[in-house]
Amino acid sequence: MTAATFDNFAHRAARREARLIGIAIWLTLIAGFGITTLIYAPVVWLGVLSISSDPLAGLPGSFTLGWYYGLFTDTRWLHPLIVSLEIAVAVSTLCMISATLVGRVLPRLKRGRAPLLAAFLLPLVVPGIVVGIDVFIYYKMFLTLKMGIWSLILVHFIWAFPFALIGMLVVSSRFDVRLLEAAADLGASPWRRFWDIERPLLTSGVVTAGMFGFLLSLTELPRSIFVAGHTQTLPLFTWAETMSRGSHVSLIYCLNTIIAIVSIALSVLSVWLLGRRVKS
Amino acid sequence: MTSEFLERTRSTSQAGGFARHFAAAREWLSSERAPVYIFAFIWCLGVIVPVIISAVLSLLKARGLHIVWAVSLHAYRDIVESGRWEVVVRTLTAAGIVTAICLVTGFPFALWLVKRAKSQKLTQFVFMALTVPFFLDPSARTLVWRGVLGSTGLINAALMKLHLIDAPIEWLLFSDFSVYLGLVGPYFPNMVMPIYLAILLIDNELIQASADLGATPAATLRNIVIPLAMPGIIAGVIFTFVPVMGDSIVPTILGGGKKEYLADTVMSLSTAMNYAGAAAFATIILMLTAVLAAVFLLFRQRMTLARGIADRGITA
Amino acid sequence: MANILHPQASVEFSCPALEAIDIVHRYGSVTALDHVSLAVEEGEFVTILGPSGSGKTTLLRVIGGFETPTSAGRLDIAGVDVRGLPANHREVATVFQHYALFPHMTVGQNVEYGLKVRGVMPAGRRRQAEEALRLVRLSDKYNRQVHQLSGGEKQRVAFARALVTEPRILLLDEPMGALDEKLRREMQVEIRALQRELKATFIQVTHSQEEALTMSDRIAVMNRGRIEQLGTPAEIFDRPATRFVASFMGMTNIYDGTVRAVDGKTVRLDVAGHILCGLWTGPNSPLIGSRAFAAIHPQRVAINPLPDGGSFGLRGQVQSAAYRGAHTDIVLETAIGDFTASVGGFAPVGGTEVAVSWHPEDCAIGAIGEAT
Repeated sequence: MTAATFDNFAHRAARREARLIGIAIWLTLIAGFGITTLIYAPVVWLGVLSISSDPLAGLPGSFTLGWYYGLFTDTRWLHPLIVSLEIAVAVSTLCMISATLVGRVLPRLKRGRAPLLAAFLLPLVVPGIVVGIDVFIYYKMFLTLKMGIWSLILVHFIWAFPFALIGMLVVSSRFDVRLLEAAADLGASPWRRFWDIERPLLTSGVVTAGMFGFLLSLTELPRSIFVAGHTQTLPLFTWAETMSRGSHVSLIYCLNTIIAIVSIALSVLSVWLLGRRVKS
Repeated sequence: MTSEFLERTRSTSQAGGFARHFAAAREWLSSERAPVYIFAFIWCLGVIVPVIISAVLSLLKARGLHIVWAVSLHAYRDIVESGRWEVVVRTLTAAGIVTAICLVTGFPFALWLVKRAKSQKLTQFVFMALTVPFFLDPSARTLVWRGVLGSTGLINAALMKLHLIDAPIEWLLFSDFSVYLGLVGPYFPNMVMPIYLAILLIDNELIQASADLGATPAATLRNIVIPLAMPGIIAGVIFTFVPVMGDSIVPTILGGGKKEYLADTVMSLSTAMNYAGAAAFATIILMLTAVLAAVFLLFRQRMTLARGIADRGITA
Repeated sequence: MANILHPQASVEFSCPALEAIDIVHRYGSVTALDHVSLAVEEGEFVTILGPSGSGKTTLLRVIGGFETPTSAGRLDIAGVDVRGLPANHREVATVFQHYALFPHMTVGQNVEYGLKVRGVMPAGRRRQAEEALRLVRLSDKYNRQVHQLSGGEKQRVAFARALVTEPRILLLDEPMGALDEKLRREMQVEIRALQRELKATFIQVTHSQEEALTMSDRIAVMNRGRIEQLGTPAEIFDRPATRFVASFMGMTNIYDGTVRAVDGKTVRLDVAGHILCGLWTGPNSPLIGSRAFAAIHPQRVAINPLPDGGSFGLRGQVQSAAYRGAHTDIVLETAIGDFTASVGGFAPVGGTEVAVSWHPEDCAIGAIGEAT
């Protein structure tokens, strides 16, 4: 084969490859963004329906804020919301404390790091319904404890802790332990070392852990169903209304539109915060 | 951990005196490792023990909330006799299909995010978009699909208005289709994230070396990228398959109750206060998860990944 | 048909292994390659030498096909225009700085990879891979995992993997970068022997002048995206064409002055009133009165006790002496500035006045501000 024929052959093959890669990338993007749309389209539509004057009609005709005013007259949602917020704050606090305690030390452990991490991340691979029923069986049937806010906090914490820990590890695994050694060398006490050196650097991890805990608790449903006892959280309220196929569907739309907007805003904020810390 | 503690207490107790014993314990407690081990202990007690206990209960009889302390395979026999094993098959099929869709679309998407997405901003935006779904109320966002897919919903109404169809398409809602559609979106991030992280760890130089040695992009993908991303692919499959298998919300809202899925069964059994039966199903779900994980771990072991990559994979 | 249209293309071995003309590459506003041209003959060992950021790695990546140059007047590999061809369609192979061995494959699988993707049957692959491993003296490591290898062994595998595809050019990106000093010396000799044995074309990138000098047929010294000088190791070391090359090759004694007299290649340069005599390094003789630099390797300087009476060209006073084992670096204060001399035996004590001298052929005189 002469150089010139190879020349043509290779260039033609290269062009064909480039074309195929182009097609593959387009298919990838259509599929990837298509599925991402499946995530967000319902949320957007939720918002649209919440201001639609006839939310049960297929195509929204006219729009109204009337349903939102309805939130002031029909206030059955208020108590579940307060309960949800109480639980979310408790879970958030627990997440911040435990993720800090565990997350800052875990990357520095010499032994047992992998099994510990696996144990902590286990709830990620246990379906929520299993956690729910298992916690119920253990605490209610074996220990004969009464279900209530505490059991909701427990299952929410089990669900949220792995996320909080990951959020903390993103920051703490990049933390340079030599900084602490340097501080110790300069005579700082353990407490001072934590406060002056680790705390400022780990703050974004703590905040992320707290936000993850808050948001995951606020919207948790599959585990709550089993362990709620007589307590009602906002997702449980939504769930009950959904299952009863009641006429209050517009109320649910409004309420959850607000919750979704707050959730999106807070999660964007926490991920952004984490990303900024990691970059610096 | 504790062995270290014991060692130290032993050596000090040899020197004699309760005070020294006490001092050693105090020293260990004030070390920074101590909270981790204490927390791990509480975590095991509060989280891991219930899982084991439920498995135990599935082997007992229960009358309502009362446990009958006699070993029995009654709950499992019930599953077989009542034909509920069909539910297991149906659920596994659904989970398999949804996982396959997520994998086929998620892997190239993750690859594109790492290697091709030109701007940092775009990557961040997509990453954010894939994180947010974890924080959305599952029932509210699933419920909306009814308004979209139903016989008077958005799609049917729009198609009828355009005179493309005369009667509403019935299989859009309360069907396998609507269940799959409702599941694919929320669990897509579970697939993309681990694969994204795994591909991030593949050195660009390896991909360049493959091209340099004459491999076409397809050959590089098959021989280099996919094998090296395998830990992420495995994690993605497990993180998708398992929660899809246990999802109780989407099948209930979009399945229309015509066909039962595992999670429906667990709920209805627990509503009927058949807790031994519910525990049996929970245990089956866990076993299936464990089998899945074990298969993949064996598979991965066979692929003898480089130690460096495995190590980095854990810390990432 | 092709040889009717392009008669020269039919005679493959008449074309150089590499012909790159007027390559420009910019990253944003940074110019990594500033109109670079380089031709490499078949069977030649060329080293691209330069400090980090000089563009040497970019040039290698452009040749390898990992970087698409902003513009290229010509980029031919063995007579084939490779502009627009991605790396997998170029008949070059690279030994990467960190070897880039595939961690999930054995040594044998790594070496066979290039053949596998070309569709060579397993038996043939195995035979060729074993042959390549024998060449790099790793015959017994065929079934090893990559992470079980030492640094030097990894490098040999990287070589075998690249060589087995019989590339027209082998590109070496800082091949010795990750090896320790002793191993580096051994590998220098070994790689050079291998290249001679195979009569293959090697292009190496390095920042080590020692590596460049001991291994290459020719050296291209790069600075700020340009090739400042291209020549044999002796030319580069003894006859640097620019101040940069002189200083990069370790000529610590560089002085600017004015050309006073030219006699063939011999030039007399006036530096602060002192006349330094040396050989002109550029192609064309300089004009009298033009600015030029003189550069002398410290190893080529002799220092002696001041002769009794009479005047002497350059005298210096010993400022400091740094013991380096095999030699001693002595810094002298002279009328033209500080002057460094590396001497073997005699090391005068501080403050001593000495006579500084060198052979005129050891003093390189070149034009300022103009690359050849």
